[in-house]
Amino acid sequence: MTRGRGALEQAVLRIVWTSPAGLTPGEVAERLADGTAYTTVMTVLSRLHGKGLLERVKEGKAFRYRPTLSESELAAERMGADLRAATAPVEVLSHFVARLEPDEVEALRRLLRRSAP
Amino acid sequence: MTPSAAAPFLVAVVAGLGVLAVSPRLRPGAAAVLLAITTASLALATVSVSLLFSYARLAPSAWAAWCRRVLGWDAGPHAVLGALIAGALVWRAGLAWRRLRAVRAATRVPTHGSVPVVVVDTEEPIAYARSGRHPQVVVSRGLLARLDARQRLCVLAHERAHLDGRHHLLTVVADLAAVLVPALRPLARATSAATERAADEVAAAVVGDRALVASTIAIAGLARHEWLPSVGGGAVIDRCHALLRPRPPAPRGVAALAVTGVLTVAAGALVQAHHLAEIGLHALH
Repeated sequence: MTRGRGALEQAVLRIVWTSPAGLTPGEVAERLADGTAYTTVMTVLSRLHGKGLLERVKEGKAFRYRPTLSESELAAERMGADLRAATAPVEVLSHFVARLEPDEVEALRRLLRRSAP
Repeated sequence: MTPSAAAPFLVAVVAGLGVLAVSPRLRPGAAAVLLAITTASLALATVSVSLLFSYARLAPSAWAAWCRRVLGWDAGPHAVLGALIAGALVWRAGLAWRRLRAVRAATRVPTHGSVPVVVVDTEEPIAYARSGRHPQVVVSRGLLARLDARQRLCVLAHERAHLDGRHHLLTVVADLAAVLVPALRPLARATSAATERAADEVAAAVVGDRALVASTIAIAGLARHEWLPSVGGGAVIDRCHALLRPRPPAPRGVAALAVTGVLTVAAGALVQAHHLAEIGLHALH
């Protein structure tokens, strides 16, 4: 089966997104289940890592790859824009709210209760 | 290297700490610009002084001796220190270069004109602005469902303010400087926090209700936390509190002080870099 480089990258990304704990190239190849060679999967994974879409940790002789951005953060790309544009690293995506500190949660709830009519 | 050779660097560091200290009292938009310049200047000063130090330890006159030592005779601690600093610089520069290549696409084309809003069909409450050739404001269905019409306007105004204010350029410059010199991370975080505050102020002006923007931030922050409880990030409650206070008048004296501080940092960095360039030219002759 042949398909474009971008399509294979998309397919691999979708698979890795389904397992936040990360996957090895072998596991990705298994789930692709379309006869894509192990070495091709390895190449695609390391390319996605180079683009900052996946992070990796050494595990034995292989790497285990994990997603860096959630699927929804890149979902805009599934609506037609090219994958290259989707590789913007996190710091150029300005999020409306960042993550919270534990003590902020209660403070924000109090703030909302006070502002409620 | 005599201690006075590092004087411009030390002056820049002290002035930089001063800028960081007074930045919360400035208008957020101005603070973001000044903090980004400070971060970049301090990175230049640090790299210059480190190279000067390594050079002094590994200077050509000492080069042959150093090589002999490395080849088996006693390696002087100074030469080893110089080599370590040079190695660390090369390592950080490599990381910064890779980061620069990654962000180039996103910062190459200036953002202007109308920005499309893309609604992503997911429950995950999320909103962000993406800069670059195809600037977009992306909002998820999950976040929109939790907000009323005016609160939605707050989110869109905030994200558009990031794009209109070219905030990504400031945060990318500060971020790169902090990749090069990890000690500058607090300044990079302050730069990014100032851009958030600046965008909040713009949103408050657009909807004409500071408390509304504060409660929108609180709703979005809590929704995000429920979806994905994870610790760390940027003082969300501080943004709310700042909005719940009336907009403070920009104190002229503080602004003048901050600008003086930034000019001092920049001058220190340039003098330090000039020292390095002089020694480099001298070595070539």
